[in-house]
Amino acid sequence: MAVLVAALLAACGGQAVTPGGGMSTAASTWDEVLKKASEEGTVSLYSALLPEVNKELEARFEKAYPDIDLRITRIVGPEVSAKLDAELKSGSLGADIVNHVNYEWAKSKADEGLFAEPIGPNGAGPEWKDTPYLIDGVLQTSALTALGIAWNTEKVTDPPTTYEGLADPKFGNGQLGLVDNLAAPMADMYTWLEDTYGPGYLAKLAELKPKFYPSAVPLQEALLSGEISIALWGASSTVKPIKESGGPIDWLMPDPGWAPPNLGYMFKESKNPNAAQVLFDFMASKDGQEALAKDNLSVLKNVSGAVEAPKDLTLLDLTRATKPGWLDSAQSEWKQIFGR
Amino acid sequence: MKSISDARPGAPRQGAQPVEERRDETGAGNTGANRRRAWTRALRRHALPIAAIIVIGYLVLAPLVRLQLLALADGGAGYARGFGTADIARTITTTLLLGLGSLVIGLVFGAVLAWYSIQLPPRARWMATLPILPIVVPPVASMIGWGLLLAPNSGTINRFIRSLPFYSGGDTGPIDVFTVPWIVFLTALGLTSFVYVFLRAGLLRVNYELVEAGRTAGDRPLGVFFRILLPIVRPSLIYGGAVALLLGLGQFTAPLLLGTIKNVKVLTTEVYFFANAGLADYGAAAAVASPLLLAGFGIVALQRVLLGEEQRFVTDGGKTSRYSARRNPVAVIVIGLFSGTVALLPLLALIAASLSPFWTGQIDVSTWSLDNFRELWNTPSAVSAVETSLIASGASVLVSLPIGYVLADILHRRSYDTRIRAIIDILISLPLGVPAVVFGAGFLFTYTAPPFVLYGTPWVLVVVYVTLMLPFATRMQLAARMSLGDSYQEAARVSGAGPLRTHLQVVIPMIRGSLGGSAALIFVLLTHEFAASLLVRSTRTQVMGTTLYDLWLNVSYPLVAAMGLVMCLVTAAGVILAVRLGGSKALESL
Repeated sequence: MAVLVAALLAACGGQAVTPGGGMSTAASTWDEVLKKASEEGTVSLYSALLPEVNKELEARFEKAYPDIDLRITRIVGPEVSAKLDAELKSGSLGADIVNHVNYEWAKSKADEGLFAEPIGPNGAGPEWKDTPYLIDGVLQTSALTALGIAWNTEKVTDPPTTYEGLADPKFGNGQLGLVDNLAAPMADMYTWLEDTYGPGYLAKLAELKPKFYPSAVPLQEALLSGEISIALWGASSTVKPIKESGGPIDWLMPDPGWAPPNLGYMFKESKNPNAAQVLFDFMASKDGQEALAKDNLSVLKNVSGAVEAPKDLTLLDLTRATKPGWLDSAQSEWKQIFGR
Repeated sequence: MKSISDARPGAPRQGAQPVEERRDETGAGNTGANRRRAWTRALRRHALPIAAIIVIGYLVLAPLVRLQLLALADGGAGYARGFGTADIARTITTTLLLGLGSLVIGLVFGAVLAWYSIQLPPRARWMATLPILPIVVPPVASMIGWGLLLAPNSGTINRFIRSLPFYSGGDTGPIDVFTVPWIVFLTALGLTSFVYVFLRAGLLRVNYELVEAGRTAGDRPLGVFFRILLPIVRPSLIYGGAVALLLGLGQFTAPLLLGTIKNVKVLTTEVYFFANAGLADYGAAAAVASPLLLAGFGIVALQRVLLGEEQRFVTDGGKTSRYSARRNPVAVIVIGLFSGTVALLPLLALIAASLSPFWTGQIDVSTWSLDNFRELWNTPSAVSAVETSLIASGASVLVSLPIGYVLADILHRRSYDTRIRAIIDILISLPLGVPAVVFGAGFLFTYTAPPFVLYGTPWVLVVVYVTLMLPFATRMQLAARMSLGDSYQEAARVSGAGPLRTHLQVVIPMIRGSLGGSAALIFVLLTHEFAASLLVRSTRTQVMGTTLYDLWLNVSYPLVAAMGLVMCLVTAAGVILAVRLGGSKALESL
């Protein structure tokens, strides 16, 4: 009985796929796009960005485009790909734009032609188009998360200024917090650490018997409570507000440093294709980057509020991260080193 | 209403075949046509049970079968990937420890609590509901609370122990909640309430005149306990033990929240990580779930064999033989201590954290405020998660109870074919043997494709929830029907009431307490539901349990704590409502 009722309700409430969204990019001017976007009135973003960044983006976008309501759903972790697959399969796609770090999935869907190319003055402008920051013409490097070393100021008074300094016996016995190798960004960072500091570096970290956390925020909470003293994968944009309200925590960007991009992409079959173009364009603009790069790093130069980049900054290697099978083998090797 | 004298004497019991037809089947004149007629009659008589088998069978088996087909595809590639991880042996061992630990600790603690609960002095009899209180605290919230209390460096209890003058163990510990023994212990504590409920119900049905007879004959209390009491409550022990073992094996919350920090893995967390990997691997997830399914089915089958014919365990001697266990003031201390520790401690940690701007492990009342609750109130996704939980859980209760009632009725009626009743009984028990996270993966895979595409709607939650609650919805009502017996029903039928009227005006009012208790338990379990919801929820359909997990991953401990407390309040309100509707017997009937 429950199944019959549910089936009836599914038939009534199911959402049909609207192919193409009715956008004719060749003939439209940007003004027409803006006008249609206002008529659409809403745009949905699935975002892996940190909550403060999302709030800032929403505030600035809605100030610039008061007729468009930006709805942000925060999803972190690799489960976003499973969710998007399920939504696409069942015709219930809820996002117009996704901003995430699921590189393999995004690259494979880009190859299948699922994403729309930007046509706005910023998104398709010279700072993005035909640069490494707009991959395959559809994947935008919308944000670069400023990740570095974070520490509890009551337990550590003289923090190391490089990642190499973390491999110090004084951070042994569970004092060191590391992020779990659950997705491509973590896998790439650990590989970069090994490439930069030699093959024995990760083994030295493993000897310290670190504690593992699934993402930046649990790591930060463990630092605040004093459960760990120092952490790799601290995020500037979440540490700063807590530090300002008196929490015993601080952060620095090491040199050499590493940063992962968040990729932004628009679905061709989104429900609000014009509003999506407007948001995508905004994210590529100086105003948008000031929101996305607040306490983070930007691909554009001289963005106010952004963290100063180290002299030696490596971005996540997207070619390697999206190579089929690379993630699995990198994670297996890492698990062997850390006994996980 | 017709009078008794209007009833036809010797009227056959409902469902029984008339004598002449029975003779026809066994007599010398047994023809093919007679056999066909007999089959048709049997099929028509069993229309409802057969329909139940089809619907319940699809609900329970379709997701599992689809998952297994995935695991077996490409020559079993899912199995190769699922069991190919380097530490799979350790994962399986930890899973076994979790199950067996839950069984042993749950049975011991549950038995002690149940035994003392029937010895409570009359004025303290209300304390019998206290051991059930831990069920009201959501497992996600209580595990986070235990984490705040028992983390080796920063845990509040650890800090307190280290501050004691006679302690000399260094500046970490002594308790490390991120290790296997503590994860097993905390999981088992969480399941003790379930075992307590079943054991207490069993003890309450015992005829204490038998116990007194043993004492009078000269046996010592321990002898009476082991030689008379334990054998009589064997069904409750077996059922309670099976539930503890099954739920322990399928536990997900403690290993996920406390175990990943120091690499404590169990099969259910492997299922979750495979199903949520960058490119979801349902085949491997299904493969890794298989040992749990096999163990679950095995335990369900073993339980049926061990219980055998339940009638021989009925010793009910009427009302006067109940509640006659000797009063013991120690009972107050034991029950108060358990409930205070297990339910209250994590709650206190959550309250302290929820009022703080950030959690440093130390309590500083001067920083306390309601800001976190205000922030939750202003977070649309949190508010809508509470709404979705209430709607989905409420709808599931309203759907589960009638389904449970119908199924309990089918199982109770001896006029139905034994094999058909056995099939239904097994199908109903299966969800207990399947970890919720596996059902979640199965439902995600099944309901994102035809014939029933429910993904993205709240209805997929209702379907999952109803399936998960089948054992609880049915078993409790079946127990009530067995206690009630058939005499009231027969009296109503003989007096001329039709079947519908009998059920609506006689049976249902008489088992009102049990219905209220079932509604309360199902509502509690569903508002806390986390493992299956985590997988079938879409990005926009969130429930309280999954929101709590998201907050734990992405936001601060204080906000998580605030959300956890909101969940406790919502659950408590639902329980109070169900108990009000079910009458004072509702919680007893649990």
